[in-house]
Amino acid sequence: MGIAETIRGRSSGIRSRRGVDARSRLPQADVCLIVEGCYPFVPGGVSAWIDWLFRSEPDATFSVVTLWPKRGPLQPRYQLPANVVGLDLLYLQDFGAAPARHRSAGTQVQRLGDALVDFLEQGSIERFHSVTEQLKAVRSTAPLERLFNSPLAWEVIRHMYERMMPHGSFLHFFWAWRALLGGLFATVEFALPRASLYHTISTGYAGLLAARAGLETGRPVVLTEHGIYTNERRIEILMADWVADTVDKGHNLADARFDIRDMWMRAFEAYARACYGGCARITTLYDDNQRAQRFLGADPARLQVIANGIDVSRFAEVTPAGQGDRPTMALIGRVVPIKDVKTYITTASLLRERVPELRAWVLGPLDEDPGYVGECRALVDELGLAGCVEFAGAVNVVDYLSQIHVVVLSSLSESQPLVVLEAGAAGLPFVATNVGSCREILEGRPDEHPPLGAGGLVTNVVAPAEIADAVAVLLADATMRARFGQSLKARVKRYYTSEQAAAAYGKLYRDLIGNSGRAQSPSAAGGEA
Amino acid sequence: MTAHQSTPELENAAVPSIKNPAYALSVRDSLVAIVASGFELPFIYAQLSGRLPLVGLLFCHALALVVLSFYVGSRAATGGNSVLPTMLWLAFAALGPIGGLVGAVFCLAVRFSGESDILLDEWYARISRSTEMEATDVLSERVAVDRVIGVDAPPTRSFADVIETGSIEERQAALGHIARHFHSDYLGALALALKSREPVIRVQAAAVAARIKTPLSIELGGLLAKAEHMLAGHYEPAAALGLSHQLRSISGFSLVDEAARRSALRLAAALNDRGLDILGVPIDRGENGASTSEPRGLPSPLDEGGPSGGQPSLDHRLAALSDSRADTLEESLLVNGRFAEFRQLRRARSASRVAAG
Repeated sequence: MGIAETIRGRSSGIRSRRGVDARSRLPQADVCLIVEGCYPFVPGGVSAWIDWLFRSEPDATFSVVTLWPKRGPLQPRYQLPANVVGLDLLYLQDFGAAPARHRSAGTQVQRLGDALVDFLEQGSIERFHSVTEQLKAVRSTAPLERLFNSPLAWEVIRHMYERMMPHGSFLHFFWAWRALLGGLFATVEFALPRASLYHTISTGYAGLLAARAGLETGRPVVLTEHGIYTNERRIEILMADWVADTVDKGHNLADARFDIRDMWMRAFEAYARACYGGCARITTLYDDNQRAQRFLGADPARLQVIANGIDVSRFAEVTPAGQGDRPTMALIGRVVPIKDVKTYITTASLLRERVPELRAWVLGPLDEDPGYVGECRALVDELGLAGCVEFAGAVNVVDYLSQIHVVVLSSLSESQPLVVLEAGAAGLPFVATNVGSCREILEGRPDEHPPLGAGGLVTNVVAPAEIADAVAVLLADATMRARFGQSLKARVKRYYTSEQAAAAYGKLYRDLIGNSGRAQSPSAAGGEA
Repeated sequence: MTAHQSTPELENAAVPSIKNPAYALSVRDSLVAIVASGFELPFIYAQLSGRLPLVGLLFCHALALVVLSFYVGSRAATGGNSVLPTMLWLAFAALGPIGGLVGAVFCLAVRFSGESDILLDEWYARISRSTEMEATDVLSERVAVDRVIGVDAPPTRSFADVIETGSIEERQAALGHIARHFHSDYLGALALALKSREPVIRVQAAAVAARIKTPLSIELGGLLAKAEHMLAGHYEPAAALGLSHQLRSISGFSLVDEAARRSALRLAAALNDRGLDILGVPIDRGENGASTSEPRGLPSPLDEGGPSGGQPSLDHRLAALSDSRADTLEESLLVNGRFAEFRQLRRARSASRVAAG
C-alpha cells in the first residue's frame, strides 16, 4: 500500500505559520489533516474523532494543520501519537503586515476584484483557482500580508463594493471584507506541508486550504464533514447581532437587495463549493447530511457515508434492567443547553404522574455550563422532582446501564451521537429527538437489508409531552423494550463498530493514494508540493 | 474581526474631491513631454549639421511618438483623463520638441491653477445645464432611497406561511429574523419550524428556540406582572383582552415552563372573567367555582338563548354600553367560547342600529 510502512520522523513541537524553512526538512506525511478550531486544543467532539483516526491508522503517517482565529495561549489537550510527524498552526485573523507602498495598475485591481466577486457570489473550484492565480500575480511584487494593507487592497475593496452592494454601507462592507478575505488570503499565503493526500475535516477556511492543496499539488483531497459547516455558519450568521443590517427590508424576506449578512453567508457557501469541487471524495456520517452537500454543488458520485463506530465489546456484559426494578430512564450527556436537559426534566414531571416510582438520571459532566446546571436544578425543585431527577455527574456509563430501562436524548442538535450507539450495544431501547442521524440509527437506513426493525422511538424537539408518551409506552411494555434493544444492538454490530469505521478510512486512503503514493485530484492543476 | 484602524483613506472617505479630474494632470505629464523633447533635440542637431539623414530623424520622431502613445494609453487604462495627454501627443507629433515644450508649459499651467478650474467647472455646468450628479448627491441618494423599505419588492408573506411553503433560504431567513427580533407573535411560526421535515430547518429552529428561551421568559414574566396589576384594580377592558389573548398564545408553546404556563392560563381566564363581570355578563363557573379557562367549543343549536337568572336583558345592557364597550363584550364572549351569547349580542346590536335608523 502507499501508506508508509515505517514512521519517518516526528516533530513534537508546534510550529507557527512562519516555520517554512524548517518544514522543508521534515518528512512528507502520508496524510495532511486540515482542521479548524479543534484538535489538539479543544477536547471531545471532532478532536476526539481525530485522535481516534490517528490511532486507528497506525501504519499511516499524519501531519496536522490547525486553523485558529488568532494568536494566544494554547494548551494542547491531546498527546500527539507517534505517527503524527508535524503540527502547523495557521492564524486566520492575524493576517496583515505593515502596508506596502505598492500602487498597481487599474487593470490589476479590476482583475483581482472581479475574480474575488465572481468567486464570492458563485463559488466553484475554477473561480477559486482564478482568485489564487490573480493573487499570485499580485504577490510577485510584495508578500500578500503587506499588500493586504496597501492602497491596492483599498482599491480592490472599492471596486468590489461598487459591484456587490453600492447601496449598502461601505464602512460595514470594508470591515466584513477584511474579516472574510483576511482568512482567504491567509490560506493562500500559507506554505503547505508536503503530503500524499490532504484530508480536511470541514469546509470553510480549512476546506479552502485543502482545495488549494489539490490545485497546487495535484494530490487527492478528501473531506469528512461531521456536521455541515456551511449550515452551522449560516445559522450563526442569520442569528448574529454583530452583523449589521444596512438595508431596511422590514419583514420582507423576498427583498433581494444584497446586504452584509448576505455577503457573509455567500462567502462561506462559496468556500464550501470550492472545497466540494476540489475533493476526490466527500464523506459524512449519515445520509441526511448529503442533501445539504448536494445542495451546495457536491458531485453525488463522490459522496460517501462513513459512520462513526464504537468498541462494542465494552458493553457486552451489560444486562438491561428487569420489570421488577425501579422504573428508570436516563439522559447520558453533558448538562448544557444544546442537550435541552430542561425538556428532559419537564418530561420527567409529566411522566411521574403516570409512573409515580419513576427515577430520571442525568449522567454527564456538570462543569461545562454551571449557570445552566443551576437553572436545571432550580427547575427540578420548582417541579417537586427532588426524589425523581438525579444528577450523577461524570460517571462510567457502563456501571449504570444495567439499571436503566430506557435511554433518552432530548437534544436540540446532534450529528451522530455516540450515546445512541453505546446504549444500543448494551441492548437498551432509546427515545431520541429527531436530530442528526438519530432516526437513521434507531429506524435503519432505507437500504438496510434485511431490515432489523426499530430500535427506539423518535420525537420532535422541545416536545416533553411526546417524549413522555414514548417513554411511558416503553416502560409499560417489557416485550417492546427487549425487541427494540435487540434490534438496536444488531444494527450497531452490523454498521457502527470502530473496526468498520477504521477499515473504511484505511481503504479510502489506500484507494486514493495508490501504490505509487501519487494520485490525481479531480481538480488538479499540476505541480508538486 | 481585525481591530479597527483608521487610515488616511478612511478618514477622507467622506470628503468629496473638489478638483475636477479632467484637469488633474500631474507634474509627471509635463516631465514626460520635456523628456520626449529632450530626446529629439540631439537628433535634430545632428540632422541640421548633416550627420543624420532626414529619414533617420523622422524615424526617431516616430519612435518618440510610439513611446508617448503607450504613456497616453496607460493614462486611460488607469482611469485617468487622457484628453490633455492626447493634445500633448498631437502637439509633439506636429511640432516636435517645440510642441512638446509648449505642451509641458501648458500642462504645468493647468496643474497649478486649481481654483480657477473649479470656477470654470461650475460655470461650464451652469451653461451646459449638466444633468450629471455629484458624487456626494449619488451617495446621499443611495442612503436615502436604496436602504429603506423597497416599494418594488414582492408583497410580504406571513412567517407561518413562509415556514410551511417557502424555500429553504426563505425559511432560514424567517428564523433568523425571529431570533434577532423576537416577539411572542412569532411563536406559531417557530412551532411549525420545530416540526419541519427539513433537518436544516429543525436544527435552526431548535437553535432559535434555545436562544429565545430567556427573552420569552422575560416577556412572559412582564405580561404576568401586567395581568396581576390589571386584576389588582387597574383594569382596562380592551387592553385586558389583548393581554389575555397574548398569554393564551404563549402558554400554548412547548418552550414555556409548566408553572409559567399554568399561571398564564389562569391569569388569561381571570382577565376575561373580570371583563365579563364589568360588562354585567354572568360568568360560567365550573363545579368548584372556578371560571372556565378554556373555550368550550362550538355550541349546539339548543344552546341558543339569553343568559339565565335575574340579570337584566341583553337589550337593556346593550343600551347602556358604548360602542367600544360593546365591541369588548363581543370579543370577550368569543374568547370564552360563549358563542350563543355572542350571536345574541350581534343580533341585538344589529337590531338596535336598525331601530336607531
